Amino acid sequence: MIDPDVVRRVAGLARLGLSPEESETTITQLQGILEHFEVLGEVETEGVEPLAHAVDEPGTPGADEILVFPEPQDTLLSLTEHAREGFLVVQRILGDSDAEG
Amino acid sequence: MTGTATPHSAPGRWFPVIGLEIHVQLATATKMFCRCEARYGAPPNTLVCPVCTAQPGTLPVLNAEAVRLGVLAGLAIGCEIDTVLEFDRKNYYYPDLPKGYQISQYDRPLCHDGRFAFELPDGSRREITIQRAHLEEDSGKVIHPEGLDLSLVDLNRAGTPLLEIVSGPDLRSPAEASAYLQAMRQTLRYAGVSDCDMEKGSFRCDANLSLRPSEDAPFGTRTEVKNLNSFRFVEAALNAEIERQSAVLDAGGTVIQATLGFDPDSGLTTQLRTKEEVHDYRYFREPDLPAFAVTADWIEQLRGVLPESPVARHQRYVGVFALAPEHADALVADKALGDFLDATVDAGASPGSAARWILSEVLRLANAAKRPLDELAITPARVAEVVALVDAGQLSLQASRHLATAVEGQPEVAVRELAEALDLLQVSGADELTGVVREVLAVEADLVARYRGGKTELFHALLGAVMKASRGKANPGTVRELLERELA
Repeated sequence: MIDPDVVRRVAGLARLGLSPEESETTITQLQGILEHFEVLGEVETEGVEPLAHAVDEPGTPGADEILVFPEPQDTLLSLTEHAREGFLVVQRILGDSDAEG
Repeated sequence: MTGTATPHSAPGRWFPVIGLEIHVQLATATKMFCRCEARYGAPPNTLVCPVCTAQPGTLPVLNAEAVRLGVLAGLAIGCEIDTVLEFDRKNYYYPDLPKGYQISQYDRPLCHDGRFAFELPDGSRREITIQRAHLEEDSGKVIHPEGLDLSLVDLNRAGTPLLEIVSGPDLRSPAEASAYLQAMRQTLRYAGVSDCDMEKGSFRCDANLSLRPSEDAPFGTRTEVKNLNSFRFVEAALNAEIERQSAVLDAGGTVIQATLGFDPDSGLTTQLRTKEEVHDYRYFREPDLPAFAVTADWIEQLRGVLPESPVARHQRYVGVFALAPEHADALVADKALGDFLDATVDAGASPGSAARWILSEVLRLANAAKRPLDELAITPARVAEVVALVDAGQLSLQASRHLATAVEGQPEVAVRELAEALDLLQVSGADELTGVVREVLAVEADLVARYRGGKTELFHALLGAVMKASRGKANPGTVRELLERELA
């Protein structure tokens, strides 16, 4: 059951600020998605191994050789107006990511 | 709480339990999942491509070298290696993580169940567990410029291969944690998997710390102190956090699980945020990457080429080379020095003489030139020649010091030629020296008479006179023999 607390929590994890109206709409939408998955849940999966990847063959890693993507400043940074002196500009945030956590 | 980074004022009241998470950037040429160059210090966002900036429709391609270095590192730190390599997504939102998830490993880390031994400052040996070491990609960097109401993102680092090494909660003091960290860095450097340069962020450390009332009590609630990115700060930060938690517990409070930062200026730990729960990361298998096979054969092959560990080198230096432990310490502490010694011994030098000479003369040359050993003109082969002359008694230690400077300064001239040109070679030919000895005995007839009269301590005065007459080039051993024969 999706309630306002769940929405607030999930929105917080996604760093989204939702207005009360948006929160209401989201409850309805998430509820619909969960109901859809409940239909899938009716499939009999007893004794079926979970599948993480459709391909069973082991992958082949690539060689550690530099491939230069030309002019990334012009091509990639120009995709956004939020750039400045080669950096991407975001809202002021404090603290560090936990990419390393 | 006094706000200083001193140890808890009542040691023994609370017992710290510490575990470290170390992030090591692997020394690949390119990133983990794209072939952008992985390099520190380039202008912002110049080492990026559609993959590492997470443009829609791009797919990751695993870097084979990252896997090889990950396995080597795992072997170097005593871990088991999994034969299946799987990746998972760790989902969270932060501007330095363009995909909205980090490709990491969750329930099947590449390396697991290690035992890692290291030495404490008092010389005692300590062994702790390594729970796991897994591969993942690094994030970008966020800069918070002062005076501006915005933050700046540089994605050059995004996607750099990392190995996260998680120790067991086995460390019992900040000093132990620091010793472990140093030993780990040395081991990884020896294995050649990373330059482990803390200043450039290729070796970073977070610590988990909790307190308990006795050494066998259950673990307390832990906090995580992030970014202990210098050895100096590790002990200070851990001591400050022990003090903070002790104060909370002493006042009857409870420690709240949280992520903290350490401010070296104030010496205090401060809360960054309360920690997200593991399930908040919504880990699931990375659908864009299949599983990879790490065969047992390949693991054994890599075990075979794993460079000697610092511990093994130290044992060899003391056990096989018969070096004094303090010489072995110095030579092992700096891998380049030990490499230089090994190459000199390979070139034919005796290990003990070579070690002494390298630690005094080669280091002196390097310090004078302010250059690393491998940029000096003097080579292990030439050092071996100098050491051979000393060992053969043809060059005094004192003279070899003059020769060192010449050998460094004139790399094109043969060592022996230089020694001859500088007139440094000792005269140890008995024929040549016999003449000198006889002349001296004739001049010092008075001394000789008194010596023969029983004043045997005058032997040293005669020896000195001969050395002086030879202008220091005579081999003292030969002179001694000749004198004894002539005076008999």
